Amino acid sequence: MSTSFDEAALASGDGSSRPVDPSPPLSPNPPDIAQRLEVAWGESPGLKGWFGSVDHKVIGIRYLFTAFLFLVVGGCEALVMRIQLARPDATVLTPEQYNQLFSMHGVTMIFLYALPILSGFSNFLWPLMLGSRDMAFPRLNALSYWLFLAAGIFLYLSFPFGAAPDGGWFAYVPNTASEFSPGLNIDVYCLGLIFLGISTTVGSANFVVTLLRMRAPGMSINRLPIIVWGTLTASVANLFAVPAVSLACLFLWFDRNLGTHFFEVSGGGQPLLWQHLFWIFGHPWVYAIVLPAMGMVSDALPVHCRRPLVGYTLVAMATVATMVVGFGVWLHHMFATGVPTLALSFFSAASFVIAIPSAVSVFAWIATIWTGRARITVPFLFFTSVILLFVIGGVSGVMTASLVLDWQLTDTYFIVAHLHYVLIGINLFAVVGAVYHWFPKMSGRMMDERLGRWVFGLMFIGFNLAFLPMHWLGLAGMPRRVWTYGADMGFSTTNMIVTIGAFLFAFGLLLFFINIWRGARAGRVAGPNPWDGPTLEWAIASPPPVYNFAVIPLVASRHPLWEDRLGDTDERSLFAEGFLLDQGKETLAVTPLDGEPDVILKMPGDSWLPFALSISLMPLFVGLLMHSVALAAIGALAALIILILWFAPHPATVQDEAVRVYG
Amino acid sequence: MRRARLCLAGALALGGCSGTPLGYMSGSGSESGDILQRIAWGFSAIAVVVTLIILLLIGAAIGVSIRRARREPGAAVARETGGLSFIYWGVGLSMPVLIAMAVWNFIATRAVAEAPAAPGLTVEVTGHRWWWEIRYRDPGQPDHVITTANQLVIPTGVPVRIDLTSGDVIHDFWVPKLGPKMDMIPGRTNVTWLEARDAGSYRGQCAEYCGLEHARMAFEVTALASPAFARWMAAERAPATLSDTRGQQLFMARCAACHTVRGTGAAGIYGPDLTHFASRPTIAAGLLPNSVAARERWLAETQAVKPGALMPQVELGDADRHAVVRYLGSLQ
Amino acid sequence: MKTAGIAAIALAAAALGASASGWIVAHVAQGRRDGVVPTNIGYQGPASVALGDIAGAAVPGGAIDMPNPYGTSPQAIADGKRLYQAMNCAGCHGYDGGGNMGPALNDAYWRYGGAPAQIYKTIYEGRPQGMPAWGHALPADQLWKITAYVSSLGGGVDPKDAVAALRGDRPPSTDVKAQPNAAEGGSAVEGQ
Repeated sequence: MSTSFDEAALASGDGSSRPVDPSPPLSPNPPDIAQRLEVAWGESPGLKGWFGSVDHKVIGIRYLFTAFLFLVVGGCEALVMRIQLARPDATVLTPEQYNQLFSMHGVTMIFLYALPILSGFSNFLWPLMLGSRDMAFPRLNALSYWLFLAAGIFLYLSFPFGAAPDGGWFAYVPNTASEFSPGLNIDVYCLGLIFLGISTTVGSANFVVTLLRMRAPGMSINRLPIIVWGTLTASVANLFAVPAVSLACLFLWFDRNLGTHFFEVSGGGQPLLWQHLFWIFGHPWVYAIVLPAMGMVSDALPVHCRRPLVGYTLVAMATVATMVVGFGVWLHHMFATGVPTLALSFFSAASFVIAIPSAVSVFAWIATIWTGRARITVPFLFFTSVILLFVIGGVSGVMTASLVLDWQLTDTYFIVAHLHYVLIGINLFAVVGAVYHWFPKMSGRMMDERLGRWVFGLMFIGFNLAFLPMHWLGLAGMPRRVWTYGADMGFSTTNMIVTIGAFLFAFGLLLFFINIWRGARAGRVAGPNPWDGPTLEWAIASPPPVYNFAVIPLVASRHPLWEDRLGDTDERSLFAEGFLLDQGKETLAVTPLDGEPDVILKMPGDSWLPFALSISLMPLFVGLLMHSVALAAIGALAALIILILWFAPHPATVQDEAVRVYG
Repeated sequence: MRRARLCLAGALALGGCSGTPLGYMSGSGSESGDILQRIAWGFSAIAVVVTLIILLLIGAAIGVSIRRARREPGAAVARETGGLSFIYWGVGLSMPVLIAMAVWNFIATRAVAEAPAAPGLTVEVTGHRWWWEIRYRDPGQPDHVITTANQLVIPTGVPVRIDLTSGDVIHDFWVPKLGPKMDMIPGRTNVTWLEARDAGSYRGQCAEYCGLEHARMAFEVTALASPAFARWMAAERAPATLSDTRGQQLFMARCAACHTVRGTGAAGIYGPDLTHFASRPTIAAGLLPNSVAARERWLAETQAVKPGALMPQVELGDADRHAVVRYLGSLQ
Repeated sequence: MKTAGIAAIALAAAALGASASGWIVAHVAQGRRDGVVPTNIGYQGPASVALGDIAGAAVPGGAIDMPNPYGTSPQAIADGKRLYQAMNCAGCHGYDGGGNMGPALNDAYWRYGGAPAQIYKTIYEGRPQGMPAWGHALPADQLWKITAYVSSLGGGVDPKDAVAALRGDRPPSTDVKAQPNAAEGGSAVEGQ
């Protein structure tokens, strides 16, 4: 059952009429059944269909689109900062402007880009990879997207008023208390993060339940793609971690507006409490924004190495282990705060330990390349560079794990270098590679390979030119979060090099977006499985029909489309035979561990409610920001009404339906 | 990538014997500084070596993989054995390296963090936005507090205990060539210690974001041999002399609300103590050298030099400003 | 779908451009406000206040109705509060301006006027029976910041009501907060 794979087609990448994969999709899509399913699953006409869509693929692509938009905005903020820092004693920006820019750069990249982009991929891919027709809670899924967009808009509304948050993305008190930040800037930050936290929480809950229930029969827990492990781990972690930052922001907002003193020293409060609450969220969060990306590398790199991932079980366990240990290292962000050295030493030890599960993934990837048959495509280039950049970020991280060395390294540009190597190196490079890899599935067209190589070259060289010298800047003593530096400090030349690298990197990203645009318009038609991948998403058409699978497949291994060629099991996954759930908008729920069919789920149609709820929360948060009780009350009341409508029980008749099977 | 590496090597080479003023890879002036310097070099070397090894491994992997692909063209998909050994070997070799680094870390931490049994001198440093208040307790008369600003003078070869706190937001006391950094948190006293081995001048910098001019909150640590330190202490203890110059009159009228000059009626607590202002190496918290021209510039365009500083632009005519600068120059 | 995408991009670009220009403008305006160093408040009258000429209302060109250049900027109020404490205003007027040895600053009664320019003049010139003259000790912008803080304590009078609000002093036993001032059409009698 191998597909006819056209190497030359990949290289040429022009709009030739012959698809890269001309064979029909493995999962059958008979016209009469397709028509019935289209009626049940199709998007409502007009605005309701656009604003009310609950299709996970639409929501996923919206997440990607919006997250990339925030990436560009955050990147522009960084470029302006780099212009200011290119020369010593420059006055391109005032200190206040610089402080707002670096704070919003952090908030945008970490909250509005890094997790949403991975949510977008997970949203799009999970049901396709799991053999299901949608996520567990489609309306909740839509809600998590609209809330994300609303929270992002709320945060950025502060810019035209010159009141963007300026306390850093970490917003340490007392600098962010009302005494030292009297304007609205930090109130925007607190309320914006609480707002965004709702989106993250509902999204995470959705992922967890989807994993437990919404799979094809036979998709047992040890057959899941690693991205599913990564996002699952991240989602469970977010459910525990996000409440900490929401609580911290709530306390800070209370301190600033209602006269409480959780953090206010004069009232008996503790500034360090903020740091604890923030970092017990912050550290698990940074793992939440890299583990799904590592999962994408673990799933897609093997496709381009023409072999399954080496050490699947070890990698899956390492993913979970990283997250678990990740809850036990948060004090390494506070090594210099004067907490007793004995206590800090435990966290230093844990920070060394956490390097080990990361090493498992790195060596698994190297082994996959070494024992495979590499196909040097653009996704391969990006995924391979992830390995190198991850290692650089990892070893600089091990240096900072050392308590005593961190007493020199922390709050210098060394940390800036480290965090960008792990965040850009693991998250962004993997995401760009994943776009090249799954763009054919999302749009039905290939992205141009030759332009892709230029994108890779510019991004790789630009990124390293920008961030490798930052290690030296940190060792030379340049502190962080400084709007300028003296000419006699010895940082000048290196900062100029960094700025040049940053612009080169940005240019590479610009070409990347041009590549996407051109591919969407006139890329070569892809067909169902242009890369000859092994997992379920490659068994359906590109782009997939709105209901994903007309016939629910039966899964027998980790690599359903490679079973013939791998030959390590006699069992075969079934595509041409399976549940045919076409009596309305239905999909299948399975048992959590073994993936045995359990119940038939009736799925909701398009609905205005998620969009309306997000809109109604805006006046609530703006009212709280502006101290307008009326506005806040309107928003709260509207939200309450919408929630009542949402949860209103329908007169549903529970039927014993005769299950139809195809084939 | 190669270009970046060359730049890195070149920059390191150009660093010279003492490196940059805030660098801690060279020019250490204390035993703690030496320990930190050694571990910084050691860990950096390990990091570079590990990166190079991985780079080679990736290169080799790609090479082997492409060769196999060329040998067996087509849509071949196969599960070659032996992959798991990479993980076992890789993680297995990483563990002793990590353990060694952790052990080195703990030994060095103990050496650096452990305060000596009896500090020879205790200094209280309080961080303000964006300057440093430094108070010595006179050992002979413990109720006597000698206050100065932006310059920490310590004797060499004597362990100095530093009590750190803040008068407003969180700052961080950091003298890279002498020791580790420590936060200054309002409502709490953190303790660090310094023992300078060599006499000289070491630059310090605030290392926790504290608002608008965090970038310009630096200070000087001046380490003097014990006799010189005693002389400095005696000079510092002495109050300023009263005079009747126009400069002093203007100072009393225009500056005394915020600044203190012991021995005169100027007793403001808002800004730094200026009693022996002219003996300091820098002004404006390490921003400008303490020269006549810099003092003129600081008074004439305060907000242009350090935008956001809490010292306002004081309106003085040229002649008046020269008089005040002359008076400041007399505060030795 | 494609047009929706293009429309969304155009909208986003427009929003971005508007946001960026708004931010720049807001910063320039803020910079002009924060960087303001008013050296002349328009007061051209004598340095001392004659008894009976409450708050210099009879002085020509006194600009008694000029607004505080800092307006109600929260930054200025916060800076003013810090100066209020650092210059030990609290020593006489109490923390939060509740009054102690000196009169309360958070009520509607101002012996020398409660409009911003009047408060400024009071701080600048000093006043009989103990209020020191700060005009030479602190520069104009710091005085305006303290003024902004004092005005924010609850009793500040709008600049345009400066002349109408000249009602002088009230004995301390009266419930000061309950009595409206003349500008609001109150009926309380002056000079009890």
